[in-house]
Amino acid sequence: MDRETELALVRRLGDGDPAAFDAVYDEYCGRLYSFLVRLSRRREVAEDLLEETWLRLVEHAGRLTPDTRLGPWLFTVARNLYFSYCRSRAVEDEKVASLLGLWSTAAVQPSPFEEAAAGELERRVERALTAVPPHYREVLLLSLAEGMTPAEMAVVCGVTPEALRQRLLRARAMLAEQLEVAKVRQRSRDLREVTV
Amino acid sequence: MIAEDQDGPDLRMIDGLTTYEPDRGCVDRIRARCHARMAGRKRAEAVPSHAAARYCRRILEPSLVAVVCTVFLCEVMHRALLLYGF
Repeated sequence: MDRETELALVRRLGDGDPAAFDAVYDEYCGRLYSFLVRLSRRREVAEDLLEETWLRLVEHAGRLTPDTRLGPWLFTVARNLYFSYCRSRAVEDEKVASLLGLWSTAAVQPSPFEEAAAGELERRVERALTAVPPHYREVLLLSLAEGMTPAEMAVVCGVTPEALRQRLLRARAMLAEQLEVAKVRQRSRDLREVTV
Repeated sequence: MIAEDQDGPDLRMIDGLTTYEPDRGCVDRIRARCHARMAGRKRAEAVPSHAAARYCRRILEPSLVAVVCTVFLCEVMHRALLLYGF
């Protein structure tokens, strides 16, 4: 979505135009959901937070400043809702199993060979991501999956750009470490299979 | 520590991770709720009498009641003073 279209959508949203809402919804619904699923690791929680995020947009549509960037605005609301949810419910347990359950609903339908090849790598990355603490996981998702700039991420996470940069560096290091652990595990599993 | 521009192929994989989609029912339900909320907001904005009614309820009604009560109280005091010969 180019900037001009975005500005026009912000203005039309403020006027209560349902078509503008649909355009924004179609653009960001899947991305927000993926972000929330990977952050919360629970599909039902992600759906609730997704709904609340969109309702917040409708509620605040009339008060958006004309230069609002919709992506960062929506991701800010989504992540704030998630961390509020964490605080109120005190949920921070490992739910790798529920994340693995998501694979059955993947939208892309590759060939069985592609599925086996890419699936293994994706699974490894997903597992490594779930092992990274949420505050670091969110910056990884915003940076690598959403392609946000450090300035945008700093706004979304409510920290200074310098703090964000540090957090991102640590997050990358954590993920790389988790991926290395996964690789070593895989290698030792392969070796065991060869020797048996 | 890994520098920002030195992502390994595995880190870059995050960019290509599957985009999850909420189920169709959920997508439609959220859209419908948001549309309903927007329509409600538009209706509320389109009817100016809402604001006038709110103004009446919050400001005019209590003021009117206060004036009537004050007049009544003054009349009672007036009668009482007359009764005692003041």
